[in-house]
Amino acid sequence: MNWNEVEALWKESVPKGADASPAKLLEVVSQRSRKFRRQVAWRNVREVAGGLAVAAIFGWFAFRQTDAVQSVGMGVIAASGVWIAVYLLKFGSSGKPPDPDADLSTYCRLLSEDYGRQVRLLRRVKYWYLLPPYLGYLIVFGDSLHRRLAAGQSTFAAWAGLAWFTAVFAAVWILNEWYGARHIDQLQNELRRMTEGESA
Amino acid sequence: MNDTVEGIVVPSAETARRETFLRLMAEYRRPIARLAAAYLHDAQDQEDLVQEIALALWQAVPRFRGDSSERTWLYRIAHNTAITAAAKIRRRGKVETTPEEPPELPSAAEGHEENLIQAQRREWLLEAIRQMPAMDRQILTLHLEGLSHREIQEITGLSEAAIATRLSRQRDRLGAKHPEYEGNRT
Repeated sequence: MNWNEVEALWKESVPKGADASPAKLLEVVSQRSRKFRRQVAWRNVREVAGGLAVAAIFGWFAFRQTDAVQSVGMGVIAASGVWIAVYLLKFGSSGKPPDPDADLSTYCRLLSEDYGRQVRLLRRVKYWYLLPPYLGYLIVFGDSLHRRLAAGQSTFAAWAGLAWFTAVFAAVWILNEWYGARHIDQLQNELRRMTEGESA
Repeated sequence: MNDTVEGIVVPSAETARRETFLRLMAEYRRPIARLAAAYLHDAQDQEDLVQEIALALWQAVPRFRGDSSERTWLYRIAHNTAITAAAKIRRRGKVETTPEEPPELPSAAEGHEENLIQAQRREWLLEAIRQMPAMDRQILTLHLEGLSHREIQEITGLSEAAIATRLSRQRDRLGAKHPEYEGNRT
């Protein structure tokens, strides 16, 4: 076998998908494109609505609260809701994947940077997503505990609330930092492995 | 739907996009399918990749300004989409279903049917290409699709000299893996 035969072998190859009708492909990509746009729009609405709902509910509680410390704690949680919505819109969903109309070296570099950005976002979840509302909750918890102890009441409910809140936050932390970031790390490593030693 | 400008009917942006997409798919669906086969072993994955590439092209068509030729633009998008999809699929561990080495190649002397031998030779070639590093794979598949060194340069960003060196190295590698392969163009 010589090089001409290799070229002929290549051109003869008709893998699966080679005979897909262009009209059928257009139908598929139109559907997928619409679905993707809907998903992105829905995610943005969900993120903003979630943050604003937290802000509205806890803002109302803070406004109605007569105890100053409780009011501050709930105010911190309400502000966290707004902060998270803004942060997600600015750094989360708005992250655009690299344009595939670039040469391989440039594209791989941009893709790797995009993966890095996503990993950093997930690894910092504990600071920008979890810490602000948790601090607010700790203020509310500390004040409740103090008042119950002063009144000689059981503090079990306050501790149970803190345990539940901490468990939920820990689960979000683990899912993002351990599972989410590891998933993207693996993608980045695979990309690096596939392009190992490549440079223009 | 078309628009009318000063009494002349011109295609709307959406109509033009659809027409461009259909023309590109009619012209390049086979090269795109071969490219998918050069990245992924599983037939279903290959079909999914063809759809991924089609989607990427659909999204990119409105951005095409003619700074490069349509062919080089299309292959850049196709290869970059393929490498992203292949990394995702490999991460899922699907690569383990592919053999470590290209399959054994039967020789014509063994008396197999000619078409069976050709099919196995094609699979051998694809498997050998799949095992190449991404840049080498891209250069070789583009070369096999008939693109010039200059066009490959536009797509990969490598110099023409580097492309020639890599192609020569790939030919040698193919030869080392294939007892029947003679390497040089006849």
